[in-house]
Amino acid sequence: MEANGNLASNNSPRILIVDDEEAFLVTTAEHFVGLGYEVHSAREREEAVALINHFEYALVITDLALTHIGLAGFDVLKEIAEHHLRPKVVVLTGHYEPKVETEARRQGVDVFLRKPQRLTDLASVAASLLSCSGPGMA
Amino acid sequence: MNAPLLTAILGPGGLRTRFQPVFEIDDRGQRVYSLECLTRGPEGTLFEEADLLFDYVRRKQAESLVDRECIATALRTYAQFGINIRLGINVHASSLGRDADLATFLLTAAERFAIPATSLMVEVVEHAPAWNQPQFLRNLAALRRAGVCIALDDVGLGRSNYQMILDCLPDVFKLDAYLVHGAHADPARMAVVECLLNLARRLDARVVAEGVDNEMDLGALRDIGMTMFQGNLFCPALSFSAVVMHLQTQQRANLQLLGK
Repeated sequence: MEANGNLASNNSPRILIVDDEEAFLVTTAEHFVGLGYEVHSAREREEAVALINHFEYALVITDLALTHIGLAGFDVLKEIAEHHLRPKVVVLTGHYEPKVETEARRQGVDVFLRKPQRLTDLASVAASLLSCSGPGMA
Repeated sequence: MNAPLLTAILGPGGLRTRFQPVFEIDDRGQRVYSLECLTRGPEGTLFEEADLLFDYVRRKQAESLVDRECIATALRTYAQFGINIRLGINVHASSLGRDADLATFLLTAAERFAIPATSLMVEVVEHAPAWNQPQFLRNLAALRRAGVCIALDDVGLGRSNYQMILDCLPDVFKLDAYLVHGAHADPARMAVVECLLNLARRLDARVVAEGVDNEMDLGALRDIGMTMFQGNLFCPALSFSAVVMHLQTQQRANLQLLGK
């Protein structure tokens, strides 16, 4: 098992990015690594849930549409909700309907964003969320 | 289904096997009883670690696919060295319950690599709550008929419980490291271990203590009559060639101690 807590060994906040679009995932992960975060990434629900069960994250950024059918991202939100040390959660999705946003917020999502977003804006949202969640955050 | 990680796991080089010996210690000395195959995921990824790898695999309900790949990888590696040490292969109970041909697959693969079934020990592991018990029992019976030894892995933890002991009637109980770590200083742990040791004796089974990492736990376990141990105190999980080298070095050191 890796180090416990939602900080990496170098005290960088550990974040998880979940999206099935490889290009988006790689670009976003690289951007956050460049800002000093420890970044894990997952392309599918089962991968994300396994990671959430093994690591503590300060922040999870997830899409909701992780497969061609349905909104598997809600399963990720459900898993997060069951954790004692719940990370901050940003939903970033192209699948927008008011009822989807309402349901996501009901499941404890802190920020709901529509794609596309500029990486600098997404990083600002992350920094803002983490600045009010404890010591050592960005 | 879009599952790039599963594709990587099942692809060339996606799974690697490490081997850790189980030692038998008694008045006559120390001998290798078996080698357990321990699977690692794709190198350089977070899923290299077995707990995380198999958590993902179980969530994908791909235990059977991955178990088959682990079996093939382990047998292929083992066969290259031509060494006659009992080989312990982990197989999910859910795979034995879902995959009607799993016993046949294992026995056929062993035959292809010229490995006698009597040199194999299937170590049943389980984390899933539900599986097909009749199918599971048919696969176990087929393995037993062929001469494969049956062990129950991680006894005392999760699904490796009394129900599973009764279903499997294992030849070998492998006590989970959770029961073993710190046992020397914990009367409650020792009580549980002793209870399982007595149960195994009643069922004519042998017992291995997993996760033996220090002399104090080893001493306490030997004091209650345990004779089989696995853990970093003896040898960490290594590649097959490294394990063989480790064992040869150990054997030479033992011979020197005996003045031979």
